Amino acid sequence: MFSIQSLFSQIDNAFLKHLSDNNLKIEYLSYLQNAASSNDTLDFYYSKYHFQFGDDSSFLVHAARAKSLLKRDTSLLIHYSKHFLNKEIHQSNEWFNSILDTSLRVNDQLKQLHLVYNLTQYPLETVELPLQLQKDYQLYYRATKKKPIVAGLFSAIIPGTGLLYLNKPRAFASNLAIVGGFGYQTYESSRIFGWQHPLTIINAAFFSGFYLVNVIGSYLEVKKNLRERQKQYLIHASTYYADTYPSSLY
Amino acid sequence: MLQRITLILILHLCINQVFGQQQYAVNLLGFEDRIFRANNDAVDLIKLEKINYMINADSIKGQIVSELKRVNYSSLPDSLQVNALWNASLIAYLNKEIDLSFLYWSKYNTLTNDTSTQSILLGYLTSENLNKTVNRSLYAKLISCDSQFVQFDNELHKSIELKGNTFKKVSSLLLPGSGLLINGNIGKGLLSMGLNTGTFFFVRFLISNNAWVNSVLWGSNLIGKFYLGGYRLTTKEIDNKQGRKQKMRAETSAHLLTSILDKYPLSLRLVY
Repeated sequence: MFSIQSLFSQIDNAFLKHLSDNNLKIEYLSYLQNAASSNDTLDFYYSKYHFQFGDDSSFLVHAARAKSLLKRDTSLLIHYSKHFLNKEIHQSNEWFNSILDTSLRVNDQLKQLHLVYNLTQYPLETVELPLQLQKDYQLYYRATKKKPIVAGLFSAIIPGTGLLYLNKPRAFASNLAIVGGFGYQTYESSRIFGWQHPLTIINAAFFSGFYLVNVIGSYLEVKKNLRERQKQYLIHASTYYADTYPSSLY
Repeated sequence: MLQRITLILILHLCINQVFGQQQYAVNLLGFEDRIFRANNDAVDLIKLEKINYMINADSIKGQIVSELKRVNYSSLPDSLQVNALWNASLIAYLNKEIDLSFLYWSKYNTLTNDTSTQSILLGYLTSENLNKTVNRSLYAKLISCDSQFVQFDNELHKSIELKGNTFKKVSSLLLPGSGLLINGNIGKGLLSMGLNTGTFFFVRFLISNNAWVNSVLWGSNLIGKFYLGGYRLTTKEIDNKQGRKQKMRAETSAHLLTSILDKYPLSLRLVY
């Protein structure tokens, strides 16, 4: 019906916008596959294609190759940066620290987005951030100061105190009650039935298990808490900049 | 060498499919290029052409439905609009987008007031959960055409709620495991009974030895596990039985619908 060769000799941005607006994935890809243009331009549009229809990994490959063209479109750079504020850490790192280098950070908005993301990699105690993000950032910053090994040690000495170190008094109370309960249960059965009795051995096994879980759990909880605070900060940053810095793909 | 020959052979065998797919995408792009460059009057006609092409090319129904949603049917000439709406309703129904299918069918029916069995059947199927009044009036028309519809409608509206579900749940609370036994899960029921009896004697043994902390902690743990667990299992097994009955009903309905559709086939209509 149509000959491939006679199709599109030059990329038509308005037509691609039309395909994008109508979510026409097959047509968009076919257009790019049959377009005769420079590699830079094709990579630029392939990055848009993968951004909308494909996956972030393929997007990053094409975006890295199309840097010279991306540089001219700050609105698009802002659009991509907002997207990568809250994505898989290795992909966000590649975007902010490999592709969006100093040559691409051409305006204050891009510099701000780069700073907001990089604070999760190199936290600073005092930094100028919008009021809406300060609280989440401070919570995240405080979480970076907590050491997993310290929490583990605290919980090893008095069960649950590692969670108190993380400002989680309820979790501390329940942890202490559980380990304490199993401890007393073991003591009671040893007193009544003796240490050789199967019930005492089972109780002691449960007590040891819960004690170990309490130590390891406190250690892991510090790491989990850090990840959660980081995620929360980036989610809020992403929502905040979505409204503050309007941008679009076309 | 053997690997190369194998690869060449595979490529040779699949060449039509590979390039066929490419040609399909290029053709879709061609239609879209025409839509983009056409004036307002022609846009919807080209969209219909594109849909026709996709139907003939046996495209994924979801993709066709996306295209159907783009068409402004009211801008089409009446002669085209009728068949386009019929196709839209049928494809949306096959893609399980019943709301959309009913919407298109309603527009089609307003335009044509089609009294053919096929049209009434499509309306009846799409209005099943959306508009009871329309559904019942269409059903009345259908049974006057063919008594086979009575059997289908009865199957569709037959109650599949199992009797005695509440009794089984209460029974499993009063005598652990009995709910499962009544439901027909003999093995699980006996196991649940055994575990709960064991828990009772174990806690009694602890109390008789004045191991109060042990009796409270073990008791609460084991009761939570076996007594409440048994109740939850009863609920789950009742749901499973209900699900099996529902599946059987669905299979019977599908079988009846197939024989109805053999008699009154719902087929796409040529737009051009």
